Amino acid sequence: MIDFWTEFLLYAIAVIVTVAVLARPIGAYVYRVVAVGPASASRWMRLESAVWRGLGIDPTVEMGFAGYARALIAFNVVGGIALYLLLRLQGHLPLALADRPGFSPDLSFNTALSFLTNTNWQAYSGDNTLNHSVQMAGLTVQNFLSAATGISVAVALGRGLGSRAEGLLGNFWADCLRTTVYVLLPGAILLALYFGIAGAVQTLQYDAVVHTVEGTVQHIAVGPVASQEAIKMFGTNGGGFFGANSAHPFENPTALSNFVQIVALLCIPFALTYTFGLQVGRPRDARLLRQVMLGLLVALAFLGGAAEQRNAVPSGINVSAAQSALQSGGLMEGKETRFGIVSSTLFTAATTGTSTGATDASIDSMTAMGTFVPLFLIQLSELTPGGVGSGIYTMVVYALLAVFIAGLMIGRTPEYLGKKIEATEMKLVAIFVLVTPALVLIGTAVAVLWPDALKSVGNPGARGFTEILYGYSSAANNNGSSMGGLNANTPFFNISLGIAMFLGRFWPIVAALGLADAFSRKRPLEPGPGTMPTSGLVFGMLLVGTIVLVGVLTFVPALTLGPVADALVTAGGTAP
Amino acid sequence: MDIILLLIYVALVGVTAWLIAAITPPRGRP
Repeated sequence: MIDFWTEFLLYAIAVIVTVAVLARPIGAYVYRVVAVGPASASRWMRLESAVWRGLGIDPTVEMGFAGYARALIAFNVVGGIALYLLLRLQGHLPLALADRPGFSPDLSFNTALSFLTNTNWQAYSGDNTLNHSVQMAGLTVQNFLSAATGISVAVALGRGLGSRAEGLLGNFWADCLRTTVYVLLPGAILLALYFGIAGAVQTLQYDAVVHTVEGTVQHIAVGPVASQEAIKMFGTNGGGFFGANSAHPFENPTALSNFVQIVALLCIPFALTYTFGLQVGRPRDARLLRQVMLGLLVALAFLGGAAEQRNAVPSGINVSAAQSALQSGGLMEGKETRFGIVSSTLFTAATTGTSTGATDASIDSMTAMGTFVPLFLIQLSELTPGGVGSGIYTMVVYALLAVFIAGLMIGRTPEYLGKKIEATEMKLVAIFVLVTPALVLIGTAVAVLWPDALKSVGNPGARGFTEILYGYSSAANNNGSSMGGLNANTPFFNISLGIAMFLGRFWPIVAALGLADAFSRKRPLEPGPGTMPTSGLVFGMLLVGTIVLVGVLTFVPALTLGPVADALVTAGGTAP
Repeated sequence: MDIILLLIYVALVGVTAWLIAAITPPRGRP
């Protein structure tokens, strides 16, 4: 018998080793084809040139902060409108079904902003409400473009912190197109082929008709799943074809595909730390960021797994959830028996530590601690290792905050990667760090006071509050996972969560680009006696402390009303 | 409803554009 601890350790090591093997070459590749760009005489560049001529864009023209930010926002705004129209008009599109009319305006608003912002919050069940044309031309396309947007911002920040020309961040159109075509498309194609081979369906039919042994006819939903699944994980998007997301056997067929999905969603966020290290010329500093990301993720994943493996059966029920030679044990409600506790909780931690938000188990069925783990991973601002692009630029912002706090405490010169940190940078860091908590806490407060909003809550008391808090945390931090007990398909939740997703995505992006601009204008400093090393253990501990303390201090009152109260209530009625 | 949501969208884009304008360094700043 393999006990929980051994299984967790082996599984985690297998994931870490596989991601470590893949992340370095992917990071170097992103640096070469996106951050630097193909050589002007290369075959790729000749192909690209034709595209640029057709679009009327000169990719060699570098943009300043305002130009880069405006191009990024304009590109995304147009994408949002296009997706909204596709959702509203889906009944008139090719492959339309008579019983699947256009989404309501508020649900279209929510869904368009959700996929625009890499959140992929889903207040609907795609397999019985969406047409394939919208799944493919709308949602899957946005999965690529939102991921490319995030990576572009990360690359621009790397350029700013590296020693480059003053105030020039690169060309957004070139970054976005190269990320999509050279990075995301090849990875998604390979993964789609694997998922198809593993058993995920890929067809334009809507249902498979089967005759059961009882003699009845059953219609099983199918569709172009494998292709959507690939970019769903590789781009840390998370929006499933099926309502059951990665718990559905057509979307996540085997234990091996579950492992591949975890690896796929962790690859790019970790790879971009290598890209960043190459851009700023300080791989050891980037390695420290990567180690902090990994350490926090593993620690919280372990906490979640241990919480679900406990023999915490409500008192008065004469069963045991203890692990033994005859049963794997643990609290299996809402989990797939083919995955078990370790695969389910590691998957949950990985998708909430990144901005993916896919699920292969029901978060609302977990214990109070099991629910706290994904909630807190999201509330740490999505940096363990975070979304594609957003993970590294969020971690860099927290590194700046840690350096600044260290400077205040011990009189060190606040500088990071050889660039001095001054008032302008700290104002931008403050905007970045405060926007999402404000959206989460104000959104949750308004929701619990809003007439009729509490009718959407599936469970009364502390668990119901956690469902709402989880919803706004997930939306504002662009995660997209949810506690299934919350019926969020109401005008209030659709609109308010949509607003949280938009501002939680683009305000931090603008602040990150502002930081890139500010740093690009600074002359690199030589390390002096007052310079704090930012690649060693001491700074690593300071960074972990900063991340955890900011998260805890911001959210502890809300967490007390939610998962903490939930734990206290349920602890009274369960066996130890 | 579509119009109301369009106005909310325009407002979201507007405040983001304002943030960009507020952060944009003045011309000629070294």
